[in-house]
Amino acid sequence: MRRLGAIGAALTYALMGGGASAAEQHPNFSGTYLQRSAGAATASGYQLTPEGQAAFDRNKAGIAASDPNIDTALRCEPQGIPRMLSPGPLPFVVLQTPAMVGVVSEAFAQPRLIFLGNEHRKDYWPTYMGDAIAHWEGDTLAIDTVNFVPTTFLDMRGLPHSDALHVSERMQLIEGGKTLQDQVTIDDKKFFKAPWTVTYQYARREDIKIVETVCLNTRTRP
Amino acid sequence: MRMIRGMRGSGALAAFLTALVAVGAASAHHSFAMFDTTKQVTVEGVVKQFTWSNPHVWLDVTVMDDKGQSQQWGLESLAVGLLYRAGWNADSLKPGDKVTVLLHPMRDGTLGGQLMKVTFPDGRALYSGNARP
Repeated sequence: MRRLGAIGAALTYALMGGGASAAEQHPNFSGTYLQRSAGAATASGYQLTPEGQAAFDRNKAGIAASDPNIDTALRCEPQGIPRMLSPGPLPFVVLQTPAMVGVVSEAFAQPRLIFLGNEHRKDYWPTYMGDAIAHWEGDTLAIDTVNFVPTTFLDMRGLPHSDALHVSERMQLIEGGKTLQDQVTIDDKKFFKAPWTVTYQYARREDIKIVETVCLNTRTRP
Repeated sequence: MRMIRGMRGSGALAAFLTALVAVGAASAHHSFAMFDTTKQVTVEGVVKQFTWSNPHVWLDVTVMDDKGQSQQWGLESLAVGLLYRAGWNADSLKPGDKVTVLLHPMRDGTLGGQLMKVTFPDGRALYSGNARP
């Protein structure tokens, strides 16, 4: 049934010219998920520029010293995009409407809103989540996010990014809807010699109800 | 009260726990590199404070050493949500509770570490997140 539905959706999408009026035919990502893969914790294949390497070294020293001015998550600032895309053992919820896809992560209770559309906001300021817009390409949601605060890390090791960070994602349901996959491409011309891609997979876990997770405790060591 | 130091537990369990930390699965918040995951220490003591908060839950235990001196051990656990799904809640521990605590010690020798397991006098045990064997 699901396969027939997908074919039907694709036909409808094609017949209607891929217009927004086919929104209700798109896959529904809504649900609760738990990360399958370690993602960027094991990512390789990226090449830092000298400026990027210097920032990485500074971040690693700050992490080793538990310095909240470097590792700002230690003082409960949001981890932001793309770090919150690799939440390890903490689940997250996706809620989808025709106009937006929302993500609420149990890690830091971080809210992310991805708005369907083709234009980034005008005169918007740098944010932890960035300015995310998306459009459907068949069963794939193509997400484009820019305008991030420069202090967040790409991962828990302190891999850095600059204000030039541009994150592109291709999000889709695979394995009969049991897995949500997000192929994330990091493009940061100041800190990386070339764009690089990491793929995260999340298992659908309707047995989990996420809990409220307000970050208040800034204690970092015994 | 007494304190027991040294390597404990099966090699398989230790390897499993080490692997979890190595891939960053145990914490999405910060590195646990300050803990020596190759070592396990057991301490017996009395709960001084149980802090049910995020990003991580903390347990402070008062331990009497062999000379009768009072020591304060600070133990970092995981996020509230992880512990809740592992059977804990905000009332799992109260000041004054007698507990035996299994932990990965600090590398720098500070009294404290990564909380792995809490055992009560009646034998009940709570595991810290993914640490369940």
